[in-house]
Amino acid sequence: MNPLLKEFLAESRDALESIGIILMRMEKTPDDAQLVEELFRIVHTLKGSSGLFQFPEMTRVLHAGEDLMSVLRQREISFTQLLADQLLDAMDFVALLCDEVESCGQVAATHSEQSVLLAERLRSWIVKPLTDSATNTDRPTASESVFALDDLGEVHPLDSVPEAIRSLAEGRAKEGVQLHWVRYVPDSECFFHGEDPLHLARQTPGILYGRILAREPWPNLVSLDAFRCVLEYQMLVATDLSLLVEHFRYVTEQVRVTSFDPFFPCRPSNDLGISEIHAWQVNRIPRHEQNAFCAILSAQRRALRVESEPKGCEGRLRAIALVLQHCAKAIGDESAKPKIQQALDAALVLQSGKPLLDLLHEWVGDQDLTSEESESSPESSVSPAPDDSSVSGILEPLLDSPDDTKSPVLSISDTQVESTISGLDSSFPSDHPEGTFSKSTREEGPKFGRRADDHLVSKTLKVDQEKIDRLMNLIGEMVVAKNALPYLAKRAEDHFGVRELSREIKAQHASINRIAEEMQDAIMQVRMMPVSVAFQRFPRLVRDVSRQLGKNVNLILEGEETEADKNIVESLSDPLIHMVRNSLDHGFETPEIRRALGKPPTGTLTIRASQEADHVLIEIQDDGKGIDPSLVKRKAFEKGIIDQAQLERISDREAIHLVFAAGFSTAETVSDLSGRGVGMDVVRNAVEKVHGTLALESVVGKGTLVRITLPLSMAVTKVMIIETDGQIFGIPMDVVWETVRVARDDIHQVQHQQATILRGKVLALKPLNGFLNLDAPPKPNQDDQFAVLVVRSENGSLGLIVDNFRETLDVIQKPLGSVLTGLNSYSGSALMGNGSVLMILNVREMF
Amino acid sequence: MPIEYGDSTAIFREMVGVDEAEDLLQWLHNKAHPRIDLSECTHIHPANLQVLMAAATMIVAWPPDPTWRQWLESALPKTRGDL
Repeated sequence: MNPLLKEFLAESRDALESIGIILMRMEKTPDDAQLVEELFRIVHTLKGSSGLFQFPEMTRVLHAGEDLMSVLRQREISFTQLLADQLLDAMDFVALLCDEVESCGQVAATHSEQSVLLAERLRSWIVKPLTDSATNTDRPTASESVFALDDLGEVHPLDSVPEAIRSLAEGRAKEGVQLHWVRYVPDSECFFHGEDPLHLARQTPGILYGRILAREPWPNLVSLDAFRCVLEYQMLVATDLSLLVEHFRYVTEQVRVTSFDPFFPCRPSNDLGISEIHAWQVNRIPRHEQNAFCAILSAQRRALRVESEPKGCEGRLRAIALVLQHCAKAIGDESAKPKIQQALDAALVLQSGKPLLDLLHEWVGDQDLTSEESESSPESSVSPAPDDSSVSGILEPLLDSPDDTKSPVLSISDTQVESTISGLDSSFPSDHPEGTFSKSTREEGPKFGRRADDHLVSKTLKVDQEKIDRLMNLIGEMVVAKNALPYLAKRAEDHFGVRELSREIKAQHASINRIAEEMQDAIMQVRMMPVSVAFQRFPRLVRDVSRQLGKNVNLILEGEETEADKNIVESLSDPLIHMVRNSLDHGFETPEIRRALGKPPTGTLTIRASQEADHVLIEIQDDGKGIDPSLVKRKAFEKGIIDQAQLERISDREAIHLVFAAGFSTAETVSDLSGRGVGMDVVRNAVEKVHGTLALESVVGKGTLVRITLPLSMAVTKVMIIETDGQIFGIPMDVVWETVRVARDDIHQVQHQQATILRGKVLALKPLNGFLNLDAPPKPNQDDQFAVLVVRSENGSLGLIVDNFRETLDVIQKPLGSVLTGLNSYSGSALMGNGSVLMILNVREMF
Repeated sequence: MPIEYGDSTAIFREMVGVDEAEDLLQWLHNKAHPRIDLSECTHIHPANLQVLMAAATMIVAWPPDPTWRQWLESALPKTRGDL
């Protein structure tokens, strides 16, 4: 994946998270202006970044969100829960798109509809269109005021585009699509704002044709400032105006749009005036036809000015001549007929429209000849327009430097004068009568497109987790390599008899050991993350679920700053969500019932994190109805999880732990059981996977407390080494309860099971050899005592008979790879200092 | 590198960003008859385009995408030099 996109996705996730958090906070303090500002800033940044990529769905929703933020911060609407709901929905949608981009690199077009819907919903909050700010909405009715209309004079936009494009445009127009001529003149400083006007122009929806022109003559290369934008972009576009408004939303004041019909002159009023046709007595025809007459003549004149390729030239000239003949006939000027024929003949010989044009001028005056001369003024010659000079008629009002050649233009008509003057204003978005934003409002308005400004300097370094993992692996290897030094020292002394060297090696080992330990600690610190990372989803979750269930729940988070290894924190989030959801669903009563029970109507859910020695303790406590042990017992019996004997024997405390049993989480149970139950075995598994433990306390009517204990870090495991049948194995210290020696006489056979009495309690015994399928019997010591390792899990205690106990060791446990993955008896392996491999037993499998 | 500078020909590759403009200007300034190959170019930041336009550089190869080519041709001299 493109690194930029990768960065974008990472940033988006952070941004979406922050948005969620801020929205939550805003629900509590809706008037906090700072929060609104912050929210706006984040949404704006996110939207800006999304614009860099081709995710229109994402950008559209974010646009709408930003619009909404904008009116929100201007206090035109007030913050409500419903609004928060919709914003959260929209952000969820964006998150969904992010996921999709990450997995398949693009956004499926199927999301388009939903994005439009979401955007509309957000926009529906914006009660009135903001006519005085740059955040105008894209209502088609309001679009007129969004862009300054461009006065093309009498130059028809289609005249300046290549023939093929013209017919394409005409085809689109016939289909009923509106054509627009878009002129985009970016701010000269725009490159410094991180803008790419050409990219924006190229992405214009419905674009048929585009060209790039220089606004001023090029200086020589030495004095050229590459970063001052002097280009402008002109485009022929066939699309809805609203789409254009949306597309150029950030640069509305730099864009002028003229909508036109390819089959009609764009501005009849700017065409030939009736008074101009002095040679013909136009007043002979009815008044309402006079305008049409002028329009027809203007169209002919335009057609004649276009230099067409020789191929179609003859047909065109003949057609024009024919039109002129009919015009003459219409006003009863028979004398014109031979003149037209004569001009046509001359034109055909010259393969040029000039003779006909001259004739037309004879009749209608030559004001436009002067304007035509101005078209070949120095400015227009620097614009390498691909087609012909008539284009520059469009350009002309834009040119910054006032020029004498413009004066004849001023004499044409009032409307044109107006537009020319506005064009002469060096600040392009002038106070155009047709409504662009005035300068002052622009400056006060929000500054858009300044993505570069949005970045705040951060002291935090974002590092790929893989890199940290690599460091972690390396230090692991180093610890192992370092552990080899004592062996070496021993060999030096025993085998080679050099005690001196042995001592030196030991001294070296001590210092390397210190450094390695510090280094390991430092790397572990890097991996440490506050549990708040796992907690931050809860405000949203509790809010959504409790609203959905019609319950009032107040969430209290405590000890969010408690840190644990990244893997641990991450592994925490799923089980926690499960439990919180369970608690909300089954633990809390509805406000009515709570009131009836004399409880406060709003329940309290507390999630607390704290550190205890080398463990992280997470407690989830609710003041709901608690778990009824008798109900759990009965259900567990019905499900076949416990048998009749167990049902009678089991204590209430043990009974509630049955909710963690696999198979307890069936749909039926969920609906019947008035307590926890949904997938609690999933929770247990997830916790056990990271070597954590889970405990449950519950008082009927008072509430439930789940306590999760997790190791601070998974990186280093303390194991006890035991010996059996001449082999050594590791057993994680967290399951080792005690080591005892049991005399042979104290071991009793109970049915098929060996057992002993340990401090008045029956302890089941199992030889480890049997578990590992080793034939050898356990070896007692000289006093005929067996080494028994008492291990514990949530299923109770068990005594493992081994041959001997050895030391405990810090190891870096590696999961078993490839074909060994399926071996459940081992939880992993580790390298010992002498280079041998130590297999770590999975004690839970032995029960 | 988005722009690969050869002895006399610079080859633009894929997206050519705004940061390249300075170097491009320098390069064009130092070459007597610079030639530009755009055949592999998918986008040029206008800062670079301006430089090419100002230098009236000869384009020896255009991008295959007709729409993109048409944009470029509207701005750059259409001389088609031989490679």
